[in-house]
Amino acid sequence: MKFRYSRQGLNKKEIVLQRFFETLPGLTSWTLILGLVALSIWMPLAAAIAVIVFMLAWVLRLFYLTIFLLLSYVRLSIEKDTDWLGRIRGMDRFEAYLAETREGCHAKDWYKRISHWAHQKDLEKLKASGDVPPRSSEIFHLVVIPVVKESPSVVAANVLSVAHNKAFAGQTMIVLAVEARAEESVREGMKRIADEYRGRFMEFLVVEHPDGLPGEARVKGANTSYAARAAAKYFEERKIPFGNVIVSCFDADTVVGPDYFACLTYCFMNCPDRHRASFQPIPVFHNNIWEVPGFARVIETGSSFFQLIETTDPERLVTFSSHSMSFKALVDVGYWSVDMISEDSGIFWKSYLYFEGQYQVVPMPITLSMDIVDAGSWWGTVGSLYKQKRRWAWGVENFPLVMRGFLASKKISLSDKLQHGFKLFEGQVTWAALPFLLTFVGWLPAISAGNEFSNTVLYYNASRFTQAIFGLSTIALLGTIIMSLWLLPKKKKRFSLFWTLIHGLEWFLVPFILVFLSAMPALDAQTRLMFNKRMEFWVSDKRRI
Amino acid sequence: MVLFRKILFYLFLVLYLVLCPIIILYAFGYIFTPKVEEGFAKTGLIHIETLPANAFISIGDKRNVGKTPATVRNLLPGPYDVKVLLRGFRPWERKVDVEPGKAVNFEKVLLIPQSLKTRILIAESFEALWPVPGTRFLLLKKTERAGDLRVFDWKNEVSRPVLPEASSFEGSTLIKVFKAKESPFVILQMKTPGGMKFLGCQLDKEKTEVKDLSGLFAAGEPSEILWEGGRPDYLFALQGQNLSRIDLEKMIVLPDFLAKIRGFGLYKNKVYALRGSSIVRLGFNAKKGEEVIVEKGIFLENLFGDEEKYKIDFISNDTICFRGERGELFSNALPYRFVDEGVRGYHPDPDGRKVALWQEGRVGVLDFEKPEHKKEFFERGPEIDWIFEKGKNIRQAYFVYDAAYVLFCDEDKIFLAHAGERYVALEKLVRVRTGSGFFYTEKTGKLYYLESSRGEFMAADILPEGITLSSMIDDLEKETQGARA
Repeated sequence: MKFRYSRQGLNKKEIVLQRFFETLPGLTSWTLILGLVALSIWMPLAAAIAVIVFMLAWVLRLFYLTIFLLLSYVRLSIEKDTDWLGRIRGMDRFEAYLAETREGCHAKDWYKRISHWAHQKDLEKLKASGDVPPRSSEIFHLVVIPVVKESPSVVAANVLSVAHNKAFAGQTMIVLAVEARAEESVREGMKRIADEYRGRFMEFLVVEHPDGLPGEARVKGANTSYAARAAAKYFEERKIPFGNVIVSCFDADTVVGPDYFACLTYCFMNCPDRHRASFQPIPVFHNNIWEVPGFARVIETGSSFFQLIETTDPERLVTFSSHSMSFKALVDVGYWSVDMISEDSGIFWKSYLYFEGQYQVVPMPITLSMDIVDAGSWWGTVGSLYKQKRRWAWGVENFPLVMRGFLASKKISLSDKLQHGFKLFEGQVTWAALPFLLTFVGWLPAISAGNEFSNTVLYYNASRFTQAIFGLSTIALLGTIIMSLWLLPKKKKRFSLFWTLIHGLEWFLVPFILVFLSAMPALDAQTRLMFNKRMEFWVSDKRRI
Repeated sequence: MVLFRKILFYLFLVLYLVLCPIIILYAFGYIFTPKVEEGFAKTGLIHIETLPANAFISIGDKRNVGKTPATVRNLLPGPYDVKVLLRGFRPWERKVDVEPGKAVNFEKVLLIPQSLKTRILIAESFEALWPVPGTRFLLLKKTERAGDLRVFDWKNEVSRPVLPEASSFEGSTLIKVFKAKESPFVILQMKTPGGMKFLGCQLDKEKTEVKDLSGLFAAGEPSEILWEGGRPDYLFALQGQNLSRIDLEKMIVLPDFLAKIRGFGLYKNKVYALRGSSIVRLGFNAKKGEEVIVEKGIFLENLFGDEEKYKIDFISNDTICFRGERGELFSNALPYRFVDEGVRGYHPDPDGRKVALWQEGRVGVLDFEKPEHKKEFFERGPEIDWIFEKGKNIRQAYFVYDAAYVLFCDEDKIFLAHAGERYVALEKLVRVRTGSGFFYTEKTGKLYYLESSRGEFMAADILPEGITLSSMIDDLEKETQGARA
């Protein structure tokens, strides 16, 4: 479908629609928060019922998500030691390999057996689709790393981690997409990295993105798209089909494991409709996790958990942060948006609309690691985290575009439109409003109760119910604490039992974090969108000690 | 995974759709009971909190349904006998009508010990006890002789004669003691062979500082003297219809500071007076004739009439009470005119939101913030709840346990009544000396009185020990801060 995924160049009708959908999330969030406050004051009885309805929904959802968090974690553990390279080599001789896998797995380890069973199922599905994957030797990787103020040491660590994927380094092209407005020292640093690592890759380019090109905003997508176009020329000149290229757009602080590209290649080969798919690893924020304040550790572990949960719903999964996709698809849809901040989720929606619903995100059972925001001081980190979360929440800018796209599309089924639209809308509103409702507004009917309400059975039972819900939430929270202790990387220095306990107890900061570093930035972003106050891309403060 | 996710989603959805109405219905008090014809019944509940806690609750035939504080839920509508029992304390009983969906709330039940713990504080016989309001001092009158007047500090539990040893006024006859709110300064009016004397006594010193103020009252005996602060700069004395200002530092009198007034009160360094049908205001330091009219008109004329005299009392920032000579009680809050005659006195709670007032035969509570029952055609404001109406000679009343109870003295007996319930059996506490006063403070939780037969000065525990500790600490902190300031 030809749909301009942008808020630029709209006609009058489209502008009205765009503004309507831009206003809707913020308006709904504010209505929910203020409406329940007003209800608590003037109609505490109705407010108490609303609180019960919200809280029950929330606690059930919490348990529901905890189940999937656990399952996702188990899946990650199952595939932890998978020999991706062996599987890729096997798939290069597809028929014989399929026959071998059918013979079954004789390993004693249950994890390996399950992994083998899932693998065989995937192969059978691929065979049934009739789609033969290209041989692994014909698959190339393009890694685009946008740079504007990141230090050379951070980018070098990223490049080095890609180089450690030795089986694919020779088929990998690195493009450092450097903003022309970046400081001289940054640009020089990138050139030095290119000189140092060029020999390890198929090609290593440093592409300087000129500032202020027509139609572009100062956003990451403009920079990466410019770099991807330069790479496209390179592939065209060497007659490398775009269909055989997997493009990965990595944040500068990304660090991948040595088998990351093997896993990515496997997922690409294994996907029957690989040119209509993005590939989403699980981002974890482990690079500097033991160097940042406790609240930052909790919030980013929470972000990883959220992504872990999301991967269990591939039908509704949306790309986030560092991700990969078929280069062919990227070129077909016209690269990343050049006027949007949330280019990571934006590219999914752009592709989804372009291919009229025939586009998916394939979850990869592997992690890649990034930096937690660290401004060097406690308050500085709070401020930087707030801005980062507001930037993430600015993903709400996709909502009006997606909704307009849905209205324009005739091929996307109504059910898909409703489900995607609702998830996008509900996700944003829940993000901004629910923590406020749970933390403050939930108690309001009881606090602001006048004599009339405080002499009802509902007054007593509602507060009892609220306490029970918080009790149940604590159980779910305890599960999360245990899982976070499993997921976190080993500390560089040994911590005593006391500090281990303290790290566990950091999770009780969740109410504070949910309100001030999650809901508030989200509400801020939605309010800005509602009042048409656009945001500029703000690069998070990240540093390595 | 996708299928599993879907199945689980629908399971949770069904669970939610089933649980949500059940929980809401339960929250409203609905329960399923085979005893009721319909199967479902809307219940009520009873909530009880006692001091001390951990008392056993019995409701109807069911014994020990819980320990206080407790909420007894799922009670079918109807009458219930509620009993609260705690070893060593008098049983607390009520007949309660539980209504569907309603909560009956007893959140401040004070349990009274079977035998009140009493203690002799001074084993001497006294005639009368006068509290100095808002301070830690009580005055104990033994005889008419001024030298026999003692001051008792209830915080430190020490006493001493008010007049210093070998004072030339020891043998004088005590006529009257003038006191002001929250001031440890009192004025003793005494009759001496040389005429009427007025002594200013600073009680909050190790030895009472005494100053002869007699020369300042040469114009005549004042009917009322008021002042503000612990060490007042000015006294305001009402002589006839004229108010004089007495400068204690310079020891000079400014007669007719405010002339032709029908009553006055002091608040934040300003004198407020009722003159004719107007309220006028004048700063303590102002000059004669600088008064400003705060309010006047037919409304005040109708309210105060032409002649009656009133005492003006600021019980909080917003609430002012006017008490007339005949015992009228007015206020600046709706409905303005609360009692037309016979009010002997009233005692406000520390926040000035409520007052406990008494007439000869009844005790009531006026809650200025109590919402009206129902919006009528006319706005009415709060009404007095008369909690006891069979008294014979009620003389004093105090709020107890955060204004949940009222302690009052009728003839020679002290009773405790619940401030929110009418016609409930009173708790008789102690007998006191006929005509003597009594005192209660929440800070110690003790009742101070004169024993009925011998007149000994006694204390009885009303609140359990420990409960009062926090308020004492608060008080001490305030004092420390005040001292620093």
